[in-house]
Formats: sequence, structure tokens, C-alpha cells
Amino acid sequence: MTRRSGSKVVVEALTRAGVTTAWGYPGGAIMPLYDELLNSPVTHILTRHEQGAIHAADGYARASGRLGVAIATSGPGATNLTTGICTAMMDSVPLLCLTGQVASPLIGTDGFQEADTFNICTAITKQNYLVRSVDDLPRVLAEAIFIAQTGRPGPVLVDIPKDVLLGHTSEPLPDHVSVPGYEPSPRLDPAQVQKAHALLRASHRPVCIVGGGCRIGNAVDEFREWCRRTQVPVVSTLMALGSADPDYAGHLGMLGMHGLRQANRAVFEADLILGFGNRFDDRVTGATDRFASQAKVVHVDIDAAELGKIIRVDAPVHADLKAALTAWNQLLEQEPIEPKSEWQKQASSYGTGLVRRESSEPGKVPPTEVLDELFSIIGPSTIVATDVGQNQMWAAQRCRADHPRKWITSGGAGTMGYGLPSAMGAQAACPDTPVVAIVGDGGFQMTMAEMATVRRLNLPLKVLVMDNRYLGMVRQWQEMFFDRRYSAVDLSDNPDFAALARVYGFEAFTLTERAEIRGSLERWLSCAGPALLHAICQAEENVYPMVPAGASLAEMVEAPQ
Amino acid sequence: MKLLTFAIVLRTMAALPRVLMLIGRLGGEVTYVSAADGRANVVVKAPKRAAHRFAPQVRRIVDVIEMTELHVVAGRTRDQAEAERKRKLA
Ligand SMILES: Cc1ncc(C[n+]2csc(CCOP(=O)(O)OP(=O)(O)O)c2C)c(N)n1
Ligand SMILES: [Mg+2]
Repeated sequence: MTRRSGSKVVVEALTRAGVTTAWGYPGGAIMPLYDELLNSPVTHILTRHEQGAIHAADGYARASGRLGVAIATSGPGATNLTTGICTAMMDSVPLLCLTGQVASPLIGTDGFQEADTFNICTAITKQNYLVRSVDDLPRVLAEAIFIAQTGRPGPVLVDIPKDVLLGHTSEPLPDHVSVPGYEPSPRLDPAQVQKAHALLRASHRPVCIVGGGCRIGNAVDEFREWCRRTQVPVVSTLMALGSADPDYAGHLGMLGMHGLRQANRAVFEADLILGFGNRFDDRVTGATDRFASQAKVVHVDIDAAELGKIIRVDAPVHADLKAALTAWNQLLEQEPIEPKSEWQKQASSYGTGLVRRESSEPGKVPPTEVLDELFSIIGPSTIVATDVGQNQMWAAQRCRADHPRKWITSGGAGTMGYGLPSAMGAQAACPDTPVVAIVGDGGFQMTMAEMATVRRLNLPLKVLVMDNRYLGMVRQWQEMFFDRRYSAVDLSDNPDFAALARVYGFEAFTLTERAEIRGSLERWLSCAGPALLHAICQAEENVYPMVPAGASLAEMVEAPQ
Repeated sequence: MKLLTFAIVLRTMAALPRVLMLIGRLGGEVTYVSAADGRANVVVKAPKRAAHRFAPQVRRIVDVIEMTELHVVAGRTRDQAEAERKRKLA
């Protein structure tokens, strides 16, 4: 093997892993890598903030199923990545984060732009490394790329001192990666599937909770086949929207805190819960002691630490979801069950609980009506990325995606500022698919500088700013649980986002009249390049139904009539 | 509180802080740790309601090669041992 620099090893590792796009922001410690990137086939996209880079890499990974790559310099560059690393960790997104570190002799001296990135990131990465010698770099990179994408995926960080990037090594990239003790694909135990099958056969009111593992594990086809064979009612976690076949009559929509009435009631009444690649998050279960209290529980997950973590499981299936459902579908072929069609009909008769508000303040539009219209225009094949807050929950309740890779949202972390950069990443990954970003006025202002990146790439991204002039979700909680004492949620002096977007080179429109909702949406969506629609929304709208924190799924607060 | 005893094989000693941090995060109090040459023995006082989460989450750490949960039969307390010593000396 010829000797080459550490920077060259990085490019070599990326290229061999099939990486074509990396997002990042340069600085002193990482400069040798940036120099090498000039000669490489990897397209580097300069964002306007490291947070933009990592959310873009995350959106790119979620939309495409490929590895996302984010690059930053040492110190503040690396710390600016942390929110995005945590976001990716919570939602199991395969990311490789490369950070520059001060030169080895300076480590531990409080050198300029030194931060202990390795220790800072220990709790928010699946695995991380500080590379002490250039000879270790090929192995570390191969391992990092392997670990990020296998088993339950997640962000892996490689912190590389400047002298390691500049140093030379003749160590080759290893052909095979073996990490002792790391078993990414558990062997399926057929007895576990048989036990789950027996519980399903005996149940009268089964409900399947499908989670993000369906997308992550590429199990969508197997899952849809399982649904066809069983006719079990399905509810989706926020992460799983798009997993059920859009034509599947048994799909009851999202469950949980802002879940649909039919989804939450079905779970509450179920005598069997089948969790597929989900993790029984507190936003999903409500009060765990009263969560599906009459039900037995089957839980399929690739991560053994999820089984029994939150709720007691009667039939754990420790396996990759795709493998488990393939086996289960074979079993259903041999031993079909009575389809659960009657119960499915009953469960969907409970209704969604979504209501249309008839009143309208002049000069403002009802936010839910804007989204109803938007989803009816874009149909199921558009990629929708959201920010966090009311805008996200309203969108989730209405999501019609025909595949979970077309629904991109920060679930576990609930990271404001995620919407625009993740949509940008998704659009870069899927240039021929329309992409819409739905963002609130608060979250948009956290990362809106990425409009400059979108413009430079000339991505045809469509951004909908739902401007209620409030940190709406927090305001809603203050209204409902703090006697309407509004504290630090007022954004009444927001800038004119359409004017701002024009300055960034977007086409932009403002929507203020209810009668113009459809026309404005169509005009905005038909723009060839990047375009923004600034919707001035009625301010004090709430997301309903809502299960208050600590209540059970049966204690939904419904929209006032 | 529940007493948990883990015998851990680590790929690198640098992973030990990760293990201890996780234990702390889960609400555990490390009452004893000895570690050398890629092996660590850890005794943790874990809150009862979260005790079941410790072993699988520690095992999930990539650099944990192997982890065995040892089920220790409750031994004598210090007071009991002291009382016994006095009895024997008497
Ligand atoms: C980075 C970050 N900071 C704070 C929060 C807490 N938070 C959740 S929703 C929300 C309000 C969001 O306001 P906006 O973006 O205007 O969306 P809206 O709820 O009004 O649709 C806040 C502050 C968060 N989720 N993320
Ligand atoms: Mg708002």
C-alpha cells in the first residue's frame, strides 16, 4: 500500500463507502481534509452553520437510506454539531460525523479551539473515536462507517487531530470489519415468532403499533404484506408515518399525545399490542400503568435494550424487523388466521377527532385548513419534512405519505430548527422528488440562514412558514396547563418572511386570506426553483386531540365544538 | 434499591467511562469498581423500578465485548461481621 496522508485516507474511506455528498463547515483543524476534498469525487456542500450541515446530512440519510456525512472543525465547530448528533441518535439515523481536533501535542493544553469532543459526544453517539495515530485511521473509519449503518443505526463520530490528517500511513483500509462483541444482526429465533403468532391467533382486538424501525429496517413491503394477511388495525408512531399502505383500510393514523381519536381508542381497547420496531416512548404510551392495560404485548425489535424497557412484554422477538416479518408471513401462509376485519371496522368507526374550524380572523388563515389543502394537492409521493411544534403535529395528523422515507421529522429529540435543513438534505438526496418543508415561525428562525445554501444549490425546495406569531406549542401548554399565563412565547414582531426569502433569492408569497389558500398553495408549489409561502395563521389555535402529559390514552382532550 | 453486579469485558479501557456514565444516567450508584486489562467488575445500587434497564443498555455499548450479570447471594453486613468477630474473640 502506498503511503498517503490521513486526509486522503478519509476521502478513500468515504469513496469506498459510496458516499457522494458531505455537508460541512471548515476551520483551522480540519483544513487539511478540506484541501483534500478539492481533489475528491465527494461533493462537499457548505452550509451556513454546522447545525444546518448535520440536519441536512440527517435528512439526506432518512430520505435515501444512505449514510449521511457531516464535517466540522474543532471546538465550536464540533459543539455546533451536537444538537444534530443528539437528534440523529434519538431517531436512529446513520451518520458519520468527522471533526477536526487540535494537533496531538496541543490536546489537553486548552489549545486554541480545543474542545473535548470525544467526551462531549460520548452520551449522544452510538460510538465515537479520537484518533491518536494516523496508522489507526483506516481501521477506525471503516469501523465507524460499518457501525453507523448496521444493527440499530446511529451517529458515529470520528475526531481527528490535525497532525493525524497531515501525517502519512501505508495502512490499507481493511476489507472486512469485525468489531468483537458487536452483533448487529441478531439471529431470529423461530419459536419467538411462533409464540407471537399464537397470541395473535387467540386475540380478538389486536392492534399493531408500527415504529420507525419499519423504515430503518427496510421492512415496508413485509409489513404491508403482514397487514394484508391479518387485517390487524395499525397505528403509527410519529416516526413510522408512511409505513402502512395508503390504501390499507386498517390504518388508523398516528397514536399518542396528538394522535387521532381512533388510534388512541383502539390501543386503549386492544387485547393484544404488537409493537413493530417502536420503543413505547412516553409521548406514545401516555401513563404507562394504564397503557393498553387489558392487552398482552408482542414486541419485535433489533435492539435488545428496547424489549421490556418501558412496558412488560409477553412475547419479545429480538430480531431485525424485516427478517421477523418475512418469517411471520411464511407462517401466515401455512397457518392463516381469521382476518381481524370486524374489529378493524369497529376501530375505524371511532373517527379521527380532527375538526375544521369555521371561524376565521380577517387577514389570517386557519392553519389546519392550510395543511388540509396542502396535503390534498401534493398527494402521497411528495417528501414532507417538518419542524417541531404545532406545525409538526398538525402535519403528522394529516400525513399521507406512501412511504416512510417521504416523511422526515425530528421525533425523539423534537429539535426545533430541523425542518429547513433536513428538507434541503432530502431534496439533495432525491432531486427528482418534490420536497416541502413545513416549519413554524419559531423553528424557522433557528436555521433560516440555510436558505442561502438552498439557493446556491438551486434546489426546488418549497418552504411553508406557518406563522402564528407564537411559539405555538408552548403557548398551547401555557393556555391549557398554566392558566393562560403566556411566558416567553410572543413572536408578534416577526419579520416579513416573504421579503426575507426574496433577499435570499427565493420566490416568495404571503397568504393572509382564507379564500386564497388553494390558489396561493398552487402558485407557490408550481415555482420552478426554491420558493417560500409565508402563511399568516390564526394565532391561538390548538392541536387536538391531545392527551395531557401523564394521562392515559383514553383521556384525550378533544377540540371544543 | 437493587444491588447489581456486572463482570464486563471491554474492548478498550477507554470505554469504561462510557459504562459508568450510563450507569449514572440510569440512576445507579456505583458502589464498587475494579478494572484492569480490559476487564471491569462493577457493583451498582440501582433504583428498583429501573434495574431491568441496566444490563441490556450496558451490553449495547459497542466496546462492551461481553457482560455477565452476577447474582450475588446477600452476604453479611459489616455490623453482622463485626458482631461475629467479637463473638469469636470473646
Ligand atoms: C431547540 C428547541 N428549543 C426549544 C424547544 C421547545 N419547543 C417545542 S415546540 C416549541 C414552539 C415552536 O414554535 P414554532 O416554531 O413557532 O412552531 P408552532 O408550535 O408555533 O407551530 C418550543 C419552543 C424545542 N423543541 N427545540
Ligand atoms: Mg409559531
